[in-house]
Order: sequence, then structure tokens, then C-alpha cells
Amino acid sequence: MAADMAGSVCREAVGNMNCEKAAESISALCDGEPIPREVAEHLGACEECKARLNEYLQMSAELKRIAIIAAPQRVLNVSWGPQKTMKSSWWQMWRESMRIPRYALGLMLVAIASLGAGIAIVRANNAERWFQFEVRTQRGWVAERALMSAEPKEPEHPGPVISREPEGALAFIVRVLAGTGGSEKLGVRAIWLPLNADQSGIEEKVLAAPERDFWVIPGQKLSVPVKDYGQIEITGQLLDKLPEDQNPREIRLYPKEGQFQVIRPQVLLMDGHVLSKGGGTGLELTKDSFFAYYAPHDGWYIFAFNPFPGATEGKIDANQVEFAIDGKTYTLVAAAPIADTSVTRIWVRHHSGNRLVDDQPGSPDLDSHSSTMFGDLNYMLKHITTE
Amino acid sequence: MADDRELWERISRGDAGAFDGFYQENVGSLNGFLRQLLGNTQAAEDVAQETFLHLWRKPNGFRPEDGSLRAYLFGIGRKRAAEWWRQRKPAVDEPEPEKTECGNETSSLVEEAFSKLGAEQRSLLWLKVVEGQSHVELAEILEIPVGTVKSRVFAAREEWRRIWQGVSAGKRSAT
Repeated sequence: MAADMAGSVCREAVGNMNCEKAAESISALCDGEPIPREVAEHLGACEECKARLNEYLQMSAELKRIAIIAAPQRVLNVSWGPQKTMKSSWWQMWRESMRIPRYALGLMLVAIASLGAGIAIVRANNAERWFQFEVRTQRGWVAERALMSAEPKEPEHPGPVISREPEGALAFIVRVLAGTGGSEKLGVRAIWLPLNADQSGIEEKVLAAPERDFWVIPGQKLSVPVKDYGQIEITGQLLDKLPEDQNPREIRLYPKEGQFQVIRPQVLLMDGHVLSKGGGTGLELTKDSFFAYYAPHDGWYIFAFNPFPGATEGKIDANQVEFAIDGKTYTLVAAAPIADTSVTRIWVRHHSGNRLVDDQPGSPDLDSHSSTMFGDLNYMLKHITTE
Repeated sequence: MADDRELWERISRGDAGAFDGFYQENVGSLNGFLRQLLGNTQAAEDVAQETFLHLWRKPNGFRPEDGSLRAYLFGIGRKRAAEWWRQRKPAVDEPEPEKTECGNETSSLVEEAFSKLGAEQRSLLWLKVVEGQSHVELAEILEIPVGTVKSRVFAAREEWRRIWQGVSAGKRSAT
């Protein structure tokens, strides 16, 4: 039909109107606009112009149909916050909070590293700008702090973060997909497994979960719903350069003066025999921090850099802690030095049972896996369970 | 227009809820418009996002007396799309325009013909036919005199029809 019209230029005159003059009005008619009476009369009598109108209508209908078919099936969620660009207050606050472990935070604890919990991601490449963000669980715990390229050529593929909570396990992966200069497009996979659910292969399960896209404006909070759980909150901001103290290439063998670290894996020896091995990693611990190592079926060994009730004094020598309890000699060996060389004293206490604090994250296989917990000593002492 | 003014005032005051409503209502249309300009769904989503962000961050650029907020939005989107093309490096292969899965040959011929139009004519027709924008809005979005809109729509439509006829004839002679 269309080909039949090819090249035809109708100049048929009906009254004072001809096809050429009428054509523009026919186009307007197609858009629902009124047309002059002469054009209407011409159209009624002219087969060529009727054909033109029909073709215009057909083309319009097809274009509308294409538009409907091509319409996006989803609307990206966007967090709209205050319009003024935020200053770096979040970053300052973040830096100040570095007194507690950077790689594994919670309200007071998180890393049960045998289960892969709370390991934040710091990635380095040649990106010019960086998106530094943190992910909070519904309980307000910071489950991840990460730094990724703000405008990645190829999105990163970070591993899952697993946050064990009293009621179950939250697993998620957050990554930067793209940046537009003013906002960041994040890809989020997240699942929640309650304690009574099968928690085997949780990492594979979250990797298999669909990735959802969200836009977040730096400085603003993005809430991401997680089925059966509630929501996780993501906040972050753009950095023009990689923070000097965040460059993973600069992780040193010994922690900085005044700081402590426990690098996985750890081995706990009792009278020369291996009692347990495994555990997690905690960085940038301070004098006010504690770390606790769980030996399955034996209980928690709580370590602090200040004396605390019920604790006995032990010795730190690079990556080893030696102490004695109830006549038995223990050695905890970590993968790297725990303190700088000026620190030689540490305090240790044993705590029976598999629950150290009353709001301890739950894990069905806690009994059989070694794990390491980090946090604020005073908080732990206030919330420690009765043996 | 009165509604637009009220909406704009709320947005200017930083009412995120009002802006989100405006976003939800228009993001699909803007994505569609940008998709046919950029030929790439992902790029369209990204540019649409930038467009909304621009409006959110700088609502003062809108003047209610000059047109609708929606037309202003599409105008920004069009400029951002042009910027996107300018910023593309020559070495990067242009994406194949994404085609929709239409049900019949006529549909695909019409779409093929439409894709052969210039960017301005595609914009004009899309905004007129699909979005139903008025001549005043089209003039604002495309930055052309309002008096020329009608004739430009007609010229674009005729060009589209001519290409369609040519494509149809070509297909038929090939079979």
C-alpha cells in the first residue's frame, strides 16, 4: 500500500483547495487539531488525501504501539534528599568512628569470619573518583563499609557480606554499576534467611538472587527493601581521590602505634595442642576494644588491651598471645602481628558457652565453628551473658 | 499550568515526596523519548536519571510562565542526550539501535523508517505523536519558534512516510 503511494503527488483540486495545500492540515488533523472547512471538504472528496490521512494514522498508531512495547517495565528507585550538595560531614563522622574495627563493625560486634561476616571491601584501581559507602542493617549495625570506583568501566564483583543477627542471617552484595556525576547507580542483591531456614550455601544463594538497580545521591540515604526482613540502608559519598589511609596497598604488617589488629586465621593452642583454628579479621582496634575468640565446645577467650574484671594478664609477642588459665598454658597465634612492638601486655578471660553477649548475632552452626568477635570492651562487659 | 506552578514551588522548597511523584509519573515517558534518541536502553536510563537529578538540584531554571514542567524536563533530557552523543569517543562503536519486538511486518517497516529520520525529526514526531505535546511545549523543548512547529511536524511526517514507502517498495521488490 505504501509503495503504491510512492512518488505520487496529488494536485487534485476540489474547490479552491488542492492536495498540496491540504497536506499540512491533514498532518494536523492526525494530531487531533481542527482543520479548515475547505480542507475537510477536499478531504471528503479526494481519495489521494484520504489515503495520506490513513497512512499518517497508521504510522502514528504504529509509533504509539512501539512506544508501549518499548516502555521500561521497571522504574528505578531513587532516593531524593536535600537539594544542596552535602559537605563531607559523613566522611568526617566516618573517620571519627574508626576507633572500632573498620572491616567488621556492628553495634558493637560483627565479624564471625568463619561465616564470612561483615568483611568490607576496599578496592583500588585507577578510577578518578570514588564512592565510599556504608550499609546498615535494620538493627542499625554497619555491616559493610566499602570504597569502589564511582564510575567503573566494568562493575566490580564483590563477594557477599553476611550479617548474622539474632533472628537469622542477612546476606547482601552491593556494588557500583555506574555513576552519572551526581548520582550513583548501585546493584543490590540481598536475601534474608531466618534461623529456622536452611542456611547452607548462603553465599551461593545471595549470588543467585536477582540484582536490583537503585540510584543513590551521595550524601543521602537509600533504603533497599529485603524480602521478609525489612530494609537495609545505604549511604555514601563521592571522593575525588583515594583516602591515603584507605589504600589497601598500604596495609602494613604491624598495625599503627596505638592500634591493634587480629588477622585471620588464628590458631589456639592449649598446652601445645591445637584447641581450635579459624576465626576472623578485625582491623584498627583501639585500647578500648576487645576481641574474643570462640573455640567450639570450649567457649570464648576474651582479649583486651586494658585490664578488665576477671581477666588475667598475658603477653603479646608479635602475632602470638601467651596466657595461662586454670593451670593450663595457652597460645593464640594470629596470621600477623597484633600490636606494634611497644605493646607487650594483654588481658584475657575465659567465658563458657557459645553466647558471649545477650544480643549476639545468631548462627545455627556456631557451636561447631570457631569465630572471632570485635567491639567495644565496655559495651561487651555490660552485655556479657551469665556463664 | 496552575498545578505545575504549585508542583514546582513544592519542588523548589525541597519537597522530595512531590518530586518523587513527578519522577514516577514521567520517568517512563522520558526513558522512551531518550531511548529513541540514543538507541540504547541503558544510556537512556542513565541520561533520564541525570535529567531528573538536574531538575531536582536546580529547579530554579524552570519558569512556569514559559511552559509546563514536563516540557522543561524533556527539554533538559534532549540537551543531555545531545551532550551524551558529544561526549562519546569516536573510537567507541555506536550501539545498534535496539528494536522492539513488534507483531507484523508493517510495524517493523514503520519502525525502520522512523529510525532513518534525523534526530530532530524523530524527537519532534515522538513528542507529538507519542507524548502528545502541544506546539508550545514542542517549541520549548526543541528550542524552535512556535510558529514553525506545525510545518516542521508535517515535514517530518512526510519524510517518515516517504522513507516508509521506499522501504516497503524495497522489501517488496526483494521478495
